[in-house]
Amino acid sequence: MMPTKQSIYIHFICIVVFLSLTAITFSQDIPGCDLRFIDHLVNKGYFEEALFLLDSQECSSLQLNDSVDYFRGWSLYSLNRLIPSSESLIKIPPTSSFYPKSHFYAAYNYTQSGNFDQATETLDKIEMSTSRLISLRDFEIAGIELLRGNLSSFDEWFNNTRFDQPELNESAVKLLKISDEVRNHRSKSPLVAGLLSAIIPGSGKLYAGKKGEAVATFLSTAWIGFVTWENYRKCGLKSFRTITFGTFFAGAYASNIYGSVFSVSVVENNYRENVKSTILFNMHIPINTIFNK
Amino acid sequence: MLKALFCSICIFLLTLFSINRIYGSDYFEYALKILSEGKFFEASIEFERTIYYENDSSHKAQYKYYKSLCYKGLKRYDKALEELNSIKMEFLPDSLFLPFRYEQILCSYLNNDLNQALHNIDEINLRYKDTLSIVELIPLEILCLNACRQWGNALILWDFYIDNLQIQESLKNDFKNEINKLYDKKNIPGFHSPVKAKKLSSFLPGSGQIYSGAVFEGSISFLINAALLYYTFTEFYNKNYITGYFIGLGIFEKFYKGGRYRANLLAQNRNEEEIKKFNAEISSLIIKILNANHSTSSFLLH
Repeated sequence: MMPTKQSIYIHFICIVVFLSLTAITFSQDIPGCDLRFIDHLVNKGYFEEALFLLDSQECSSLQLNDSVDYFRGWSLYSLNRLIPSSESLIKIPPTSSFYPKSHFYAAYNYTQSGNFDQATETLDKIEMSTSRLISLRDFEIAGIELLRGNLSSFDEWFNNTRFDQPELNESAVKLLKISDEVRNHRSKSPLVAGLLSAIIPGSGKLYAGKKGEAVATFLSTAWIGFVTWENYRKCGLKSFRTITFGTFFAGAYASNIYGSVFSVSVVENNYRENVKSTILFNMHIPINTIFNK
Repeated sequence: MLKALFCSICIFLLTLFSINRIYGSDYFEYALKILSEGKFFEASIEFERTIYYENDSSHKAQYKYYKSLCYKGLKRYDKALEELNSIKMEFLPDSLFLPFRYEQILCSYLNNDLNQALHNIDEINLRYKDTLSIVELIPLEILCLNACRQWGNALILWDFYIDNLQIQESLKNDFKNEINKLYDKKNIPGFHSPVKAKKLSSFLPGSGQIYSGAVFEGSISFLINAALLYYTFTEFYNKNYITGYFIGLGIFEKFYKGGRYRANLLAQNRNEEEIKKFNAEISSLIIKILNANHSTSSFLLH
């Protein structure tokens, strides 16, 4: 039996209604988890607010949603919560448009928090699509090796890196300069500082590079020494005053030696921290230039 | 066939225009509800959502105002001010301008930015020549003037404010008596000059601290300095010059300089504390007056 004209019209209208309702269903944002608004919060710098929404039940229930993981990771990174940030960013699959940026930032977060093995592993696992990203990965691994103090490995990775990308050139020159500095750096010995301070109070601090502290230590130890000497000369060795000031002098003298040893450790630590932050800064510049500009 | 096609097009267009049309007002009621529940952080997010989805600028201004209330609830007065400062107030109608400016002045006062608060008050006074329409702003202006120690101006404003209240004459007189008592010379916080405190401590160690109200601390400071000076003179008298110079004078110098610095700091702290205490008394009086004057509509009860 042939369908009548009327039934064809009814079927046609039914199909249009069905398609329209389907369009409504698919066009709405996921109820409760308004990713468009979360994106706005992240762009405006309301990271705590974005995290509050992302941690809500509505967003947490969204499994395998790359946008949720990306926004959470990016907000945590902006709030300097590096490890949780990496844990979120690393979940993003290669099919997502956020994939390369997220994984590079995850590796950078691991590097910044001192987890060099995890950082290298993350960089190794990134599925590269362009030579630009391969160069960036090699450069980042070279930076990690430099942070580890593994100079031969740094040379290997650095020489493998293709610096045909303008984003890498400036940072690469700086990284090479730092590596030369690290190679030529002669560590100061706490033992030498202690011995110097035992001979002339304050000279250990001078050796550590702290001129002001050296003068202050020398003067303070000297004046208490003079006071002890004056009391010894006038009252004798067994007098209460000589013993008291002598004890103070002994304390000042011992503190001066300990202070010098400690100063050298502080100076060395400061040097290492300074080198570390400079390397991290230069590792961050190309990532930022490639993914955020 | 034409009819069916027409129906289909209508359905399709209706659907097209009905989907994804989110307005700020859709979230406003919910945001107000959680604000009234005291969930300020959550409410601030919801008000940001209303701002984000709103196109109308006057509505946006209103939502920003409510968002600033959330920040005020969180005691983040700087953020509240940031939100209020982003509103273009010059284009607002009077019904919105006054409460918004009031909130801005209040947040500036709470953020200790008294100059900005007084500047905004002057701006309102210039815009509204008829002072009666902005009479409700006066208590806040009084608090700002108190913080700036302009007692005379504050008293003039009090008189004007009380005279314009819609309450019984006897009640007005009671309030005026209470105000006069509060602003009595004995009750008004005295000003302890930090410079004077420092100078006093330079002249007589410990006296600057006593002037700033720390009698015990000042006495102890005086005794320590006196003992150190006595020790120095004794050592010099006994011809122990090195000991007298390095031990006596060396330690004395540290205590002497520290005492001067401390006297300056104590005077500053005392001034701030006394003003806070005085304004707390004034605030409770203001609340009492507002409760008595409940018949008038007020924009400052938000």
